Amino acid sequence: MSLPERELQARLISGDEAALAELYNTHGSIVYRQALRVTGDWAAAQDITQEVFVHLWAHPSRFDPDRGEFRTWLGMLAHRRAVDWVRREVAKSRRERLDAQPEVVPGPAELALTALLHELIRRAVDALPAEQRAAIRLAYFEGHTYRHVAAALGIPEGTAKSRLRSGLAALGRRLAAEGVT
Amino acid sequence: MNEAHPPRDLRSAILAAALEIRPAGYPDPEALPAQAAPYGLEVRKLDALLREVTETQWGTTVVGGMTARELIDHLTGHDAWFADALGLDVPAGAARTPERSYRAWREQAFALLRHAVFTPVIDRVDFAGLSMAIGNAYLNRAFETWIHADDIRLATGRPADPPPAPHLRALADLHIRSLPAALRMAQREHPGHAARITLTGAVSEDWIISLSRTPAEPSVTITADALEFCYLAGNRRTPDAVPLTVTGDADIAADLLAAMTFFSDE
Repeated sequence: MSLPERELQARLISGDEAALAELYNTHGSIVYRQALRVTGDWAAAQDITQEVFVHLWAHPSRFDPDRGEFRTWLGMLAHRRAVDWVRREVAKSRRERLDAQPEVVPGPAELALTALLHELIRRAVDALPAEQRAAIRLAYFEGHTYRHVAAALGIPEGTAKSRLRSGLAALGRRLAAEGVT
Repeated sequence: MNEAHPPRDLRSAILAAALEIRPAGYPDPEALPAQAAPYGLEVRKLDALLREVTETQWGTTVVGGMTARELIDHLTGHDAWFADALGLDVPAGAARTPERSYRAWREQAFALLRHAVFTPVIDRVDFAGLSMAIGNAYLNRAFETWIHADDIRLATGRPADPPPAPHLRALADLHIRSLPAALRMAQREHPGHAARITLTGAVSEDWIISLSRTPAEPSVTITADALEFCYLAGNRRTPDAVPLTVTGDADIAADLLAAMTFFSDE
């Protein structure tokens, strides 16, 4: 609590826009950086900075100089809005995922099952002959095309294709034997 | 990112957005004492109205033979009695153009509101020949500001825009509380009597006002719609044009209705 802060508040309450400009000059960058740190988004940080200072102008009486300084209050307002922004973003991307593929959102049970399958498949792949294993790993675990697989292994594309085919067939048989497929 | 600074034009964008929310010189409404809140809102509404009034409409005859511009000067003059009593600067001389009339009114009204933020409303002020609590004087200003704003609205084809219910209640309450004094000043006292005023509509409440120094049961009840009651008090309705129910002493009722406009003019 300080006299200049009380004076600034009284000027804000009276509708002195120069007081708002002064407060922005002093705290604008801090508020902006606070918002940017939480959101990681420049546009959001600008919006939040604007909201915070417009709020300050709209409701200067809500600032309590006995409980802290403008710097703290404005920082808190910025932080709160930034956290809300992040929450909204998370909710939005979750909604978008749901809209795109409602059936693939995994619950805890699906996640556990997926982990188990991964383990079974990994073991089945490990049990393949070395040539097939290398081709399968590149193609299905690392996402390469059969052309890349051929180039990576230094083998003709036709050979890569047939190793993948025979490897997948062997893998299928093993997994069937484990009761997976 | 820690070195980041907001873009330069954010500052001017913020100042512009802020002044859209609350104009410069207009105090934070939340800081106004309750009795000045209705004036705060009516000033804001009249300010918005006057900003959209056209040049032709400023010259339109609005009420009592006055144009909108003359009516604003008239309002500014009445506000000036109060501003003067509070020791504030008052606009000097005639305004003569709509822009100057508007500015003179606006500056003084905003100054009155800023004053309200930092002044105890229970202090008394001598205003328009009466001594009243500052809070009541602000209610009185809210009332006249609303009534004249509606004069301009109605004369320029706009809908009336009465105060919200809590403010309407405060304005009606001021008039009802003033009735005994008005009767005394009109020398129409009724010793041993009391009256009940029942408002309906936006405000639903009963008042019992004593018409003498001794306590008494109400010998008359006047029931009226709260908004119509305020129009009556503002001299914008005649008693026979307002749907009123009177039960009990008809003479006292007639005196009360005549006293209603005692403190209003034009």
